[in-house]
Order: sequence, then structure tokens, then C-alpha cells
Amino acid sequence: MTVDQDSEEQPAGLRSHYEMLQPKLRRFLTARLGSPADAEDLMQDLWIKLGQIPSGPVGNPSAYLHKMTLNLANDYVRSRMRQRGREAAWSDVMIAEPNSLAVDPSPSPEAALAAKSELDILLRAIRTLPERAQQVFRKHRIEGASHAEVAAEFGISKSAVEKNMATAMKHLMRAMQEDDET
Amino acid sequence: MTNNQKISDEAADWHAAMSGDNPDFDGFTSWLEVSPENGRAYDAILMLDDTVETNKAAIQAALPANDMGHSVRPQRRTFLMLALGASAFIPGALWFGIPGQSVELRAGDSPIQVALDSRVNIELDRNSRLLHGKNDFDTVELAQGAAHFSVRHDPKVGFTVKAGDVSVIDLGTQFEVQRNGDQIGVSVAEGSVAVSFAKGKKLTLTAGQRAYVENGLITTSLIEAGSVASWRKDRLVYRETPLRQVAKEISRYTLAPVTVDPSVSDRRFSGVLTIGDGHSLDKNLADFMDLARSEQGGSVRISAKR
Repeated sequence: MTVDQDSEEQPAGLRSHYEMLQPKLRRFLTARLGSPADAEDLMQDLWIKLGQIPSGPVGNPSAYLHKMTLNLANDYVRSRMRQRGREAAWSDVMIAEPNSLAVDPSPSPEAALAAKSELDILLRAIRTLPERAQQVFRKHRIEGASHAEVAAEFGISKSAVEKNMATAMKHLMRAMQEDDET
Repeated sequence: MTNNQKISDEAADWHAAMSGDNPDFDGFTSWLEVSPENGRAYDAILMLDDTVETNKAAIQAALPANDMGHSVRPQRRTFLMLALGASAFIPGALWFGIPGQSVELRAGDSPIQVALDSRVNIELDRNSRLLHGKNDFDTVELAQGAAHFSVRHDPKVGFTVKAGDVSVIDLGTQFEVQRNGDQIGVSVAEGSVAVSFAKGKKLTLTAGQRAYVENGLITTSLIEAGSVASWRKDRLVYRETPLRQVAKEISRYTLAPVTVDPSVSDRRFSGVLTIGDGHSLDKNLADFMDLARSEQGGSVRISAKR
């Protein structure tokens, strides 16, 4: 997060920003979770969490609140998927195309034998990434460098880093889904 | 491109954009509002990202060093600690998928740490492989090598480690399982485990006890609890251990497999070997035992001095 010296404030100030941003955050959570009731629950969680943040100046409180809300929603989605999703497969996440045949998703014994471990699929997909996308993916996602650090190292813009990360994730997603379908 | 593919690609674009410095929160909200399918596609990308996170250490270990001449690879130790720190927050259940499909964890030339879920922490030794079902974190199989398990006991669901026809069930515990070919060892550092062997034999091991199976023969011995899985501290600690067993264990680290001449394979070794890069273990062992060491067609043979 960027630290904006002019707008640094104490966490107590975060709650006033919360008041201000409330409609926007609620609208996002409703869209993200698909349920106004769940969104309301998370809004309350957010309010409680804001009171628990240890004191210290926060640069750019608005960005901070947005980031917190995003993460809270992601964690909520994760726990929801954990509860109901153990039997789901990668390809199930997408709904069937209209007019397409429904196929029994359970793998034949042969297919189960042939199926590679998730790690193998990931590795194969990473190895076949376009060169720059692979470099960016490894630097940022595996070695933990920030977008800014990756941009500086490869002499590209931060938005190029984002584009390369998106390319990498698309490629990996296809590999996962294709593996599920074989 | 199918419509699903298009949505999935958009989700990947948004995921990358929202991880950047200037996430477009309102744009993202609008995109989500277009259709619930968009949210589901985003969830799938999130899951994929979590799967990458979970496998980070293994990916790093499996890929060749980044070939950018001027890039500095982070220190391995720091990296592994980061990986551990991160994995503690990753719900293990995101390995979901086709029932019956297994996930393999593999450590290369340094140990890796994995939090399977909130109750099981695993440290997997060098050149070791561990499998678990995509939907199942209650049973793992040690395919090769050594692993240390730290398990918070759940009386409702046991945690089981399989190694060949040996099964180890935790009873609230820290323990190590080794599998070196046909030799399987279980050592308990804390708490106790129930071990079942082929032909229905059963044993309960408590802290400071060790069971060893070779050719169907089970031997139990005492072991200092602090020396269980001492490879985590770059050491191998032996007390009155048959040489053939030591040879199999150090073969996990040496450049070539180590074999022992039958005439000395029952000799006992007591001592501490430092692993380091693993390349001098066979020589140090031979020196300690005052035995000869020779290289023979891709393996190392330890035998009596002439």
C-alpha cells in the first residue's frame, strides 16, 4: 500500500472512513457474495475489526479499507467453499454451456490412473508459459516480489506486470480445467 | 472461445488488477454485478491462486533457478520460513477436486514444511515424497523418505500415516515416519501413536519409543525424544543402529546410493552425522566405523578393510 503522508491518521479515523464508504463497501460485498444478508454480516465483522487494529498511523485509509474488505470477502468465500465444495472439481466451477450435453463428471478408473497430481499439472503449465509471463509469475507469485519490484527488475510497467500475471493465471486455469475434463 | 472461457479470462484479469497498487474497486463491483457467473469464475481463480500458494515451496524446488543472470534468488532458509508462514493461513481443503485423485508433495534438496490443514503440520525431508487424497487430509501416504508430523489430536477423526503395510494413527502427537525402500521406521517425540503392521499386528508407541520393520520383522527400541527427526536440525543421530539401516537412511542425501557388504551390515553404529550438502556422509560413516568405501557402478559400497 502506498503511504500518503498528508492523509495519515490514527485508526480511530478508519471508522469515520467506514461511515463514509459504507454504501460502496456494502454494494461490493453484496455483488461479491451474492447475498445482502451475508454482506451485512461481513460489514459488521469489518466494523469490529476496525476497532481491534493496534494504534499507529494508517496511510491512505480509503485504500486500506477497500483492501480489508476484499480480503474479508475472499476469506468468507474460502470458508464457504470448504464447507460445501470438497467434491467439486475445477470444471464444475463453471456452469454448463446452454445446449451442451451433460457429461458424468466421475472419472473412469483409467482416467483416475492417468490423472496427474495437481502439482504436476501446475508445473507443466508453468513450464509452458510464454517466457515473460513465466518470469513475472515466478518472481511475483513464487518468490514473493511486489509488482513494483518485478516491474523494476524487468524494466516493464506495473500494468505490464498485471497483464503478465493475468496471462499466467489464464494459462494455469485452462490446464486445470483441461485436466479435469480428460 | 466459449462464453465460460471469456468469463474465466475476465476473472483472471480482475484478479491480477485487484492485486496491484491501484485496484479499481468500483469497476470490479460493476463487473461482479453483471452476473453471478462472474463471481463464480472469480472464486475459481481465487482457488487456483490458493493452490499455487499451497504448492509454492514445491514449485520453487521443482523449477530450475530463474535464468535471469542479475536476479538474486532469496536465501532458501528465508524462503522456507515465508512458505511456512503463508501456508498456515491457507485452508488445506482447497485441494478439492476429483474424488480419488491424489496430490503429491515432493521435497527436493532441502526440507519443505506443509500445513495440510489447521491441525496437521508436516516437515518433509530432502528427496522424500508424500501423497494425500485431494479430498482427504486425514490420511497421507509416505511414498519415500522421511517426514515429521505434528498433529493436534481430534478424538472424532484420527490422522493416519501409511507407509507400505504399516499404518500409524496419531493419538495427539509429534512423530516421525521413515520409509527407505523396504525399511520402515516410526519414532515418537511426544504423545503416542497406534501402529498397525501387516498380518494384524498392533503396537502403541509413546514418546521416546521407536519401531522398525524390515522384512516383516518388527524391532522396538528406545530413542531420545529430542533426537526424533533430527534431520530437521541438519543432523542424523544414531545409537546402536545396524549399518544397513544407516546406509539406507543416508542414501537420501548422498550423490549415489550407499550399499553395505553383508559381512558388515549387522555392525552397529552410534554417533552423530552432520548432513550438510549430504555428499560426505558415506565417507564420514566409513571413517567413523573404520571401514573401506569404494565406488561401484553408480553406487557406493561400504565393506571391511582388507
